Amino acid sequence: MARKIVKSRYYGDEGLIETMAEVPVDKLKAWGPDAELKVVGKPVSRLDGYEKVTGKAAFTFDVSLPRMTYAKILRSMVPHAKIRSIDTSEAEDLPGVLKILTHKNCPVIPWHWGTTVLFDTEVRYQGDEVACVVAESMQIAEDALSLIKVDYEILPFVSDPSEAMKAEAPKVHAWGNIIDGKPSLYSRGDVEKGFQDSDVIFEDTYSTQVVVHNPTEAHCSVVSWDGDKLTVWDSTQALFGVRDAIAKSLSMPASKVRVIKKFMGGGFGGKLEAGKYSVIAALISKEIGRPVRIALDRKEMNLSVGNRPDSVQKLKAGAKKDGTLLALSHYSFGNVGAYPNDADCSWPLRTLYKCPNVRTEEYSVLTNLGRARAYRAPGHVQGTFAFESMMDDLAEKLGLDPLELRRKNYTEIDPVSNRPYTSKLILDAYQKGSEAIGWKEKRKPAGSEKGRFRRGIGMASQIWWGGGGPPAYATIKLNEDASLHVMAGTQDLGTGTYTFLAQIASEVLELPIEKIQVTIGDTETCPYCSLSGGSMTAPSVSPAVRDASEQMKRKLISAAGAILETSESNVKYSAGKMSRLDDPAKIISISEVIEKLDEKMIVTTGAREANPEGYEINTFGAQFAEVEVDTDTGKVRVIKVVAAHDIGRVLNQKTLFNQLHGGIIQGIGYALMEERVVDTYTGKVLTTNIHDYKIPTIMETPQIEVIIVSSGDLLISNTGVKGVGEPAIIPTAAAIANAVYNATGVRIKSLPITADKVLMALSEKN
Amino acid sequence: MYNPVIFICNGKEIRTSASPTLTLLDFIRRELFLTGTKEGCREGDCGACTVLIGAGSDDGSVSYSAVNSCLIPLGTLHGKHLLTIEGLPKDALSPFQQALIKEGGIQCGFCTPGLIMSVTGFLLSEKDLSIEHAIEAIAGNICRCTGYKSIKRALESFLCDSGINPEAGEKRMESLIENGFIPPYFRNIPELLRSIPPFAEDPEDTKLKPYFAGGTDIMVQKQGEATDINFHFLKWSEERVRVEDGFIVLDAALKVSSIMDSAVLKTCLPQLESCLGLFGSRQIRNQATLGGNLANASPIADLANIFLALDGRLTLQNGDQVREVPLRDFFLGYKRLSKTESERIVKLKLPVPESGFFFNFEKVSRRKHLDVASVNSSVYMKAIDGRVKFIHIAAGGVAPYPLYLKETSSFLEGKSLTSGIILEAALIAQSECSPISDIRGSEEYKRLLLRQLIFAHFMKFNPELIYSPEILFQAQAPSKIF
Repeated sequence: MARKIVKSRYYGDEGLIETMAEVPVDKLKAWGPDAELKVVGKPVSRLDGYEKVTGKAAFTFDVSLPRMTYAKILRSMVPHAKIRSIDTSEAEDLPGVLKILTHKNCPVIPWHWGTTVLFDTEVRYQGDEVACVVAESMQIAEDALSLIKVDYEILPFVSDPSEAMKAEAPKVHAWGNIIDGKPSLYSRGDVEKGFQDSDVIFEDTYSTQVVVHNPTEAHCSVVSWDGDKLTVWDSTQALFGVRDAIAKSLSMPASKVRVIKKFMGGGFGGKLEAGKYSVIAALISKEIGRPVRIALDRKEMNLSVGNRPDSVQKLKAGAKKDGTLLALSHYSFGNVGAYPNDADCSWPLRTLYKCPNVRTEEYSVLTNLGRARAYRAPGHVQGTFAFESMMDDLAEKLGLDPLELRRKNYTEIDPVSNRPYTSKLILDAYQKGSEAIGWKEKRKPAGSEKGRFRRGIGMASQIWWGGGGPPAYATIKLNEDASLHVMAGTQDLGTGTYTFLAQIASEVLELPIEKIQVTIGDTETCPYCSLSGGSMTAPSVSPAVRDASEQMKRKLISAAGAILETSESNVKYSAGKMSRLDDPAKIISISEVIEKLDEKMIVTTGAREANPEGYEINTFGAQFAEVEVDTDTGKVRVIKVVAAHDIGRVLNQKTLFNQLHGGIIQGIGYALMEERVVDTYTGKVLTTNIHDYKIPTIMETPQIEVIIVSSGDLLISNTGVKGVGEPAIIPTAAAIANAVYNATGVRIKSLPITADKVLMALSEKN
Repeated sequence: MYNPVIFICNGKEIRTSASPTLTLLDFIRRELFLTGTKEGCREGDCGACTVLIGAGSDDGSVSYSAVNSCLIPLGTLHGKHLLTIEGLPKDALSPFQQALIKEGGIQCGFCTPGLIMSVTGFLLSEKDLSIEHAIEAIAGNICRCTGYKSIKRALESFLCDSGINPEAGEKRMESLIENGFIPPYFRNIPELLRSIPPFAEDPEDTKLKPYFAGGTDIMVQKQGEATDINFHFLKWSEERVRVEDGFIVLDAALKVSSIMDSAVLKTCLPQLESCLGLFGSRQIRNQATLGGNLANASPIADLANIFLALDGRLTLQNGDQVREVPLRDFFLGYKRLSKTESERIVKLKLPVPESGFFFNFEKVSRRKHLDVASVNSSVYMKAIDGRVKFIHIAAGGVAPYPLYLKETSSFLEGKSLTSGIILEAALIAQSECSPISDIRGSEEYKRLLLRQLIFAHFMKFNPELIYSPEILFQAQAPSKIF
């Protein structure tokens, strides 16, 4: 089918992505809200269910190859030091040790945009790579690590970003501790004038903690060379990113690197980048001529593979008496750890409401701690907690219902770009969500409850991107037996990609889902799709599969026309059979068509169409939380969460609910218990396992009610899908914080809202 | 070369000369290549490696427990039945597996096998097959994706119509086979286990080895696959909790879950079961022992705290020598015990509670379940017409060892309870404790929390006396009571 190259513009985890992309010339008409779909949107059971409930699903962690060897990384125990010398001789003498790589014998391979190398002579955080041992067994590799002697010249370190910003602070890198040496700035209108014109000014400081992804499957790779060709099994959200990073690091053609990832035990943004560990394993594997498995342990997972940066956010709002926002300002800094990343979090403040005058100033600060990475709605989760807490405070000050304040400042146009949204149903989310939680009936004035256990209700709004965009391709192969193979170079984090891609093809070609095989997660056999982050997978890839499937249908109709000796317009397609409209008895099946074509299969490749020009694509929603606070101990229990979201078309109700429930529970973890704790005296992380780093269990699960207010966005793509993975977690913590305030009259301005903070605040109040 | 460890894995006998201290999880994945059992944390905190261990008893029955295979040394498996996800029925999915698929109780799938094993263990061993108990049975299985709601639905959907015989024991087992939850080879397991000879251990050698009870602490501390220490693996006590001469007697080798299940304790101390529900996870409770928790002497040990308040007395044994020591005299300092190296804790005795007694356990931790307390506290008391006849209060997390609040308790004895008296008691408790700031809270917070937990005890004892903590605040400014 005809294609063209266009400018493509969409938002991913890292913000705006502007690229050139190949897209279909003709756009398929989107399924309308009334489209009678038989498979799409239905609660189809996941196709990989059988493999997963029987333990047969092979994760990267489970890959085992003949003659495989085991790698283990020695990591810095100290937050900042120069390596004076490394003595590996004793470790090398240990029987079963095959190879030890350190800065002394490793090629210089730049990492983190050239700010460090694979094995640096300066370690900048507890967990930085120092050496890697490959041995016949895990036990030998671990034993060998303890025999490596490293002589460190200890350097001064800094853990606290507010300290790191000071001129006299120890330098994490010679070039300074602030990314780009300056804040990232944004402004619109005249903020000072906006504040002058305001009837009410509110300002306060909110802060959030560092949290760690902690997916259940550790980061891991298994690498194997076949001549000059490298195959890498990696637990990754970004197949092609890993392929290209490894090819570049090893100075080899990308065509010689194959990255495979069938199943992975979660990612949440922490697996969006190639890891040093994969490159290290590939280097050693080449040298010893045997496959290498490298799997990080839980301590490494908590030190070295990313986290959500913390934030200190100073917010100020000016509003008229009626609640109209006139000015907003945001000053923040966040800890990105030892290597570049960003900690910006002002997008919700910039975009959630109509406000003519806005100014933001944000610092991403380097410290001697593990580096931050994208984590499920990076920036928005921190930013929404602070901004939506402040909106609640502002409503209280104005004497307005918090929901009314938000409705008052609703906007149909993106306040940053001044473009309209393709769709925005946040008012429906307010309406339906507030009804479901009992906003009017149950919500009482803040702090008016008596007794030991006090209940409260709070809410927060959500905005995120999640529209996806091109490039994304899918190839489908229809076999003579009318079985179908869908192939796309995307990846499934466990979210249900296998299933919904099959559903799209099944819908269009009316073939039973059992006859459809989906292959994703393989750079060699699948056409390109982007990484799986930014809630982009479903909105980017599903339209490409529909495009390929519609092309397949047209091909079949064309072939049937030729075979049945009639025009294509006289051929009707139904459930894998083509018949003449004027003579329904003349009917031919897929098998007969393919046999006549003398091909074993028909192949088509579809592409994601361009996003509509002049629009912004965003997801929206609101979450409402009911909590109970024990005023004797400060313990907070979440009783119910209502999540009402505009996420375009639902592809699969079951996997959608999981995404939302899972995001909300992670949001509860963020709000109440998860926290990386650092001892600033030693620069060491105290929470290096999930004994100390608390993740919610089933016992922390409240009632959850999900309401989807959207039925499909006709403007964005032929499937009308927006993403849902990130919207799910964004407003949860803010809604809980607002509910705690409503219950107790005490505002907890720093996350997590632990019993000690609540109890201390309550006892101060009394 | 080690003496062979022999056990039944799924339906087959395994005989291995691998080190008895090898971590079972590593043996399963690396030696048996059964990779359905997942590795998540290697510390018993995620449940991804959950397997079932079946132990035969003299009456021929086999009782199953879900445990974390990352905390089990291979040696404890001798003569037992190991069930992994691969040992479930092969011809058709079990009703729970089907329910998980149907209700969407799976996302990435990494935690799924461990979850299924926990539920299978629940079906095999739990007396009360209620949804609440089922949920509680999987509280130690961390899922980072689904948000648990779909898992809960899956549990509800199959439990409401499972065809499982509610009567625990052989009939239950048979109904589980008939309904496809477990395969028919389960019928042969008792016989297979009987055919395994006892572990060949040199009795002289045994004397030199340290005892290995539940292992939930030592297995976390050891790094890597195996340890150099050669343990003597203690048998989990089969003996029931019993009443002898006015005392409830508990074997030191009792698992925490056995204490919870004890009929004697359910009658004499019905509050205990729900208190112990806050102790670790089901898997941990199926492994951790009473003696281990007491000997470990962690300042925040839940069992130590509870049994200090319940006026427990320990029996220590060294060969033929036996002596008794009150639990409150047992803890001397941080990890220091009134016990010689060769003495072993064999029994705990508790006075049978008088009728009309009040017992309460409070624990505040960051996560309510599967967590260690910031501060915990127990009270055991009796009051007649508002006057305290006797009272014992214990507090954890506020001293270098599990603390018995001696002064506070003796102050309250004989007093008529008023809010003023309770405030005064809380003040005395402050003078008895010496908390330090650590990851579980600052010193100031722990002091405040201890006060609040003492309030909580009396709020539960008599809600009319204190219906809200503010009543106490109004009586006296909080700063004055430190």
